[in-house]
This record gives sequence, C-alpha cells and structure tokens, in this order.
Amino acid sequence: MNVWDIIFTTEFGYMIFRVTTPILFTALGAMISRRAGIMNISLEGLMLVGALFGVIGSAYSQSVVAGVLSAVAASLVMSLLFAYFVLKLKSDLILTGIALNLMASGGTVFLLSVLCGDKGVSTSMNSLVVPAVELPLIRHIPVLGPILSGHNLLTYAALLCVALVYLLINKSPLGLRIRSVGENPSAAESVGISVVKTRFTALVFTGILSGLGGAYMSMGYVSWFARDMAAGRGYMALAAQNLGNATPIGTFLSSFLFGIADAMSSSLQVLSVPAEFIQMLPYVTTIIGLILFAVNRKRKSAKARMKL
Amino acid sequence: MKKMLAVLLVFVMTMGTFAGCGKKETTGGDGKVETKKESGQAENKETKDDKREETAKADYSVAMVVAGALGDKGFNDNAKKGLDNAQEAFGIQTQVVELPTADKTKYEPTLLDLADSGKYDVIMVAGNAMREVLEKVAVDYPEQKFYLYDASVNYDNGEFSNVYCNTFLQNEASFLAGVVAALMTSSDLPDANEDKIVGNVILMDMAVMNDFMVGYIEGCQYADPEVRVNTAYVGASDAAKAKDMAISMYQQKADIIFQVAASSGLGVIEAGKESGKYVIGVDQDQAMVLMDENPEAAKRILTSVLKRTDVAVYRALDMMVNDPDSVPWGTSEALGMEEECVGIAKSDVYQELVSEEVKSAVEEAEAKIMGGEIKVGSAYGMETEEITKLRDSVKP
Repeated sequence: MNVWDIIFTTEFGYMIFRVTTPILFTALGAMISRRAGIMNISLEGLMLVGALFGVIGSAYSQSVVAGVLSAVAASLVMSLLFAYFVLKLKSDLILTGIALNLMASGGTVFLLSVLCGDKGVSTSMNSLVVPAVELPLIRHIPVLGPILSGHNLLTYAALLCVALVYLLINKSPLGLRIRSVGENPSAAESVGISVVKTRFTALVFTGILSGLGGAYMSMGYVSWFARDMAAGRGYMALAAQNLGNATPIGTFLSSFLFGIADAMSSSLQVLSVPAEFIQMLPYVTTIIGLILFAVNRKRKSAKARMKL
Repeated sequence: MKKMLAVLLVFVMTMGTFAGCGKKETTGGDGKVETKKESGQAENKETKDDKREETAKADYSVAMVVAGALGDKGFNDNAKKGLDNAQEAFGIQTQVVELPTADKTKYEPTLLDLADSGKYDVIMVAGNAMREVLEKVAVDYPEQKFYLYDASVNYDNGEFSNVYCNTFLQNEASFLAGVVAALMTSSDLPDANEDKIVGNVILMDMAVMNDFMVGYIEGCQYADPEVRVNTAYVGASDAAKAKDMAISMYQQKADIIFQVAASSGLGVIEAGKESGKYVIGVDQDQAMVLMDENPEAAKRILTSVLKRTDVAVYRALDMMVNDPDSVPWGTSEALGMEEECVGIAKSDVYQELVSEEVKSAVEEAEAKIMGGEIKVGSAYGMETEEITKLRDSVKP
C-alpha cells in the first residue's frame, strides 16, 4: 500500500478532525492563560478530571448535557484551585501544575474505584456519549461532505470556540485586559487593572475549554473513562498554542498540524517502516514547527532592527 | 545560599557513593534505599529460620505483587481470580500489593520488603517488568520462594533454585485465532469484505506481545497463504489511539482485527462495533464479559485468545499447598492448551458466526498443535530482525 492511498482519502480527512478536537479545545484554553501571562501545565490534569466527570455526570443523570456540564464544572474547579495556589498563595507555576496533574492522575482512579469498584475503566457505568451530527447540505458535497459532516457535536463546538476565543481575545475589553496583563503586568496594574482578577478570569476560560476537551475524550472519542486517558494530549495542546504563537488562528492551525501528524501515526503503520518512526511523527512535527517559528521570529526581529 | 547548596549536594553524593559500596548489584541511584534494606536484612536473617518452620505448620501465606493495577479486566484481574479461588479452596492467606506501572523504581524496594519480612511462604510476581528485579532479589533471599508467571528468569545467570516460573504458550492459541481470522475473512460472514486482509493491533513492541502476533501471523499463513496481516503498535496505553488505529485498519479493508492491547483494546472493540466489523479479543472471553454491558460490541467479537492466568496461578498454588514436593522449583514451565491455560474462546458468538468448516479446521489445527505436528514459532526465541521480517512479509 502507498502513503498517498492512505492520506488522500476522505476517511483520513475525517479522522484528522476527530483526532484534533481534544487538542484544539485544550490548546485554546492554554492559549488564553498564556496570554494572561500564565504558563499552565495542569492541562493534562484538567482534561482527565473533565473526562471522568463527564462519565460520572452522564451516568447518574442520564443526560448528555448534564454530563458535559459536570465535566466543565469539574475542570473549572480544578483550574480555580490552580489559580488559587498560583495567584493567591504565589506558589510556583510549574510545580503547582505538576502537583495537580499527579493529583488528577491518582485522584480520578481513586474516585473511579470508589464509584464503580474498578480501577481501570468505567465501562460498568452506563455513561452516555455526545451525539454525532450530519450537516445538512454540506454532507452532499462530494469529498468535502464525508470529511466535514457526521462529526461529534463537540468537534463543531471546538471549531466554534476558535471564533469565540478570537473575539474574546482580540475584540473584547476583557481580551484587551487579559493581553495587557500578560504582556506587562506592572503597566496594567498602573492603569488600574487588577492583575490577579484578570488572571483568575483567564483561568476560568482555561478550565471550561479543557473540561470540554476532557468531555470529548470520554463522551465521544471513546465512550468510557480509562485511567490516564488523556495520554499526553494536554501537553500536546500546550505545545500547540506555543507553536501557534498564542494567537487563536495560530493555535487552531498548529492543533490541526498535530492532528494530522497524530492521524498519520495511527494509520501509516501498514507501511513497512519501523513503527517507532511513525510514532515519532507528532513530536518531530512539534520540533520542526518550533524551529521554523524561531527562525521566522528571528528574521522578523532582525528586519525590525534594520529599519531602526 | 549557593555555597550551602553545593555543600549539601557534595554530602548527598558522598553518602550515595558509600551506600553504593554496601552491595555489589547496587546501582548508583537507589544506593540509599539499599543500605537501609541491608542493615535490616542482617538482623532478619538470624530469626528467619525459626520463622520458616513456624509458617510451615501455620497457614500457607501468599503475597501477590501486581505490576500495574487491578481493574484491567484481563491479565491482572485474572491472576487475582486464580488467587481468590485458591484462597477459597485451600484456606491460604493472601496479600495483594499493587504497584503503578509508571513508577518502576518501586518494584525493587517492594520486593525486598516482602522478601525481608519473611512472612510469606511464596511471593508471586508477574511479567517481564518484574523479572529483572526478581533476578536480583531472589539471589539475596535463597530461603524465600518466588513464583514468577508470564516470564522466566534466566536460569543460566545464577542460582535460582527458589524460583518457579510459568510462561504461557500464547503463540499457540494465537495461531488458532489466525486460522479463524484467515478463514472467516473470505467466508460469507455478514459485513466481511472479499479482500483477504485482517488486522492486528498490539499495545507495544515487546516479546510477550509479539508472541501473540507471531502465532497469529503463522496461523493466518497456515490457513490461507494469500491472507495479508496489517499490524500496528499503539506504543503506550491509549484507548483512543487504539480506536483510531483500528478504524483506520478497517478502512484499509481489514474486516477482522485481533487486539493485543490490554485495556486499550476496548478502543479496538468499540471501533469494531462502530465500523460494523469484527474483533478477536484477548486474555479472557471478551464476548462473554461484554455481553451484559454492551451486547452490540460483544456480538462483534468472533472469539478471544484466552490466556488463563487464573488457571496457572491456581495450578501453581495447588501444587505448593497440597503437594509441596511436586513443585519444580528452579525451573520454568511453559503452559499451553493441555493445561488449559491458553486456548480460544468458543463463546455463543463464535458458535453463531463461525461456520462449521472453519470450526472443524480450527479443531484440526488444535489437534495438530497438541500432537506436535505443527510447531508454532515464538517471539521469545526470535531476533528483532526476524520479527520485523515476518511482520513486513505479510503486510498488505
């Protein structure tokens, strides 16, 4: 089988969206906190907690909406905890992030075993999934139809979130405050913007978006919660927003780049190349992306200096 | 401040070096832990012999170390079931210690603690992950009996007369799964396509998992040399990724996928359900396990390659408790179909979906393997290049 026979199929295009969704949600969340000047590495934990509570919420209420809301709420609480530690107690960003990730990893398994007596997966809980939707009209377009239509509702929500986050960051007064706090906290403070309050608000958004990413993991991508199911996607999201230079569009594009690499690593093993090489793809993409980004920025700043 | 830190660092490193001298096998990093153990060990050794005689009369007690956690609905849970059955049948005392897979540094201290306590007649450990640690510990505690299943210590490397090992002939059972897959892919199974392609999703590129793959590929080739096998490694525990891989395999014209992916394999089963194709389960009869919770998925599981850790554990404990002289300490036994430790599940789904000809072909292959007429290759004796060659030779 040939590489192109695999990549140039509508199925592969469809898969990219499916794979990108959790990364995109979380990367947007990471982006907002980054713009507020907070390097948030607790995303992995936020996703995990979201994924677990999506399952718990939907299993007990038998309502998809309640499931997604409880995923968001749980992730939000966790994000506020992060905010409290970092902003109020002035603890170290990275250490707090690591601590929360570890807590989420162990805590979710603990909660799972308390609730359903199982330490591995939540399949014995009767949890629900967010339905997939067929897009009217678009579904009939050849090639594009099968790629764009029939996705999980959360996938479309993620795409919508790109626009919303764009408006929030670039067009709203709150966005302006978030950006100013991130770029120069002292200056922001001097004109009467509360740095702590603004960062708290930014972390609320991070919590909501990561919670949605987590909900997608356990209520769409697969239909159960498994221990450590985020499997590094939180870190990938962090890298994606970094690669996207913390802009909504950049984050969107780099998330897709990661999605493509991830989809390739899942479908190209049929070729007779070492599996390890294919598994490397998402990470190699990250490194190449970061290099290109750095080179570009250097050239730009050199140009700017020339003008002076 | 910097000076203080430097002094502190030097102090710690010196301590580490001294601690390292204490014992031959010590690796620099865990030097400190080792010394603590050693001082305890000296005191304990004297009292140990008396203790041993006592325990021989009292109840038999077993410690089971689980690398990973219970709740995997497969390998570990099964072994625990064997332990529970033995406890019920023989009234032995049991203790289960769970160790997270991520933290391998805990393996050695835990095993040392258990061996050092002298409380257990036998300490059970599992898998290749624990093997290396066991090889270190078993030599230092010659009085302590160890039972290792699903791996074998290298008996050429040292005096392991206190260690009994079990391996499983999972390659033989996988061979049968290969026969089922290869014959069913071109049969009139509903939803199967005419392409002679089947799949194999494997958690990691390691001997014990490749052993399933080697048997499966050989079984496919035996039943129908034209059948192609698409193989993929998930790389790390990730059910979502396993699902992606399976979906992509189904799109690449495979209609039956054998999953060897522990709990991530649930992703493959879900992919089978959503794509309307078929799956071969692993470790236990997954069709029966899922029948109540998720009958739609269960009906997509043609059969499962059984790896009955419960039977092996029960069998070993039965020997140890009821007939201590019959335990072949210091050797490794490969358990197969004869001991009913491996096999394929002939569930209701199998009975319903698999045609009579295929069933009889499977029985024929089964008899041939048991009779020694078919020799199934094993990943254990193979070089990495050989495995790669085999894998690539059958790719579509």
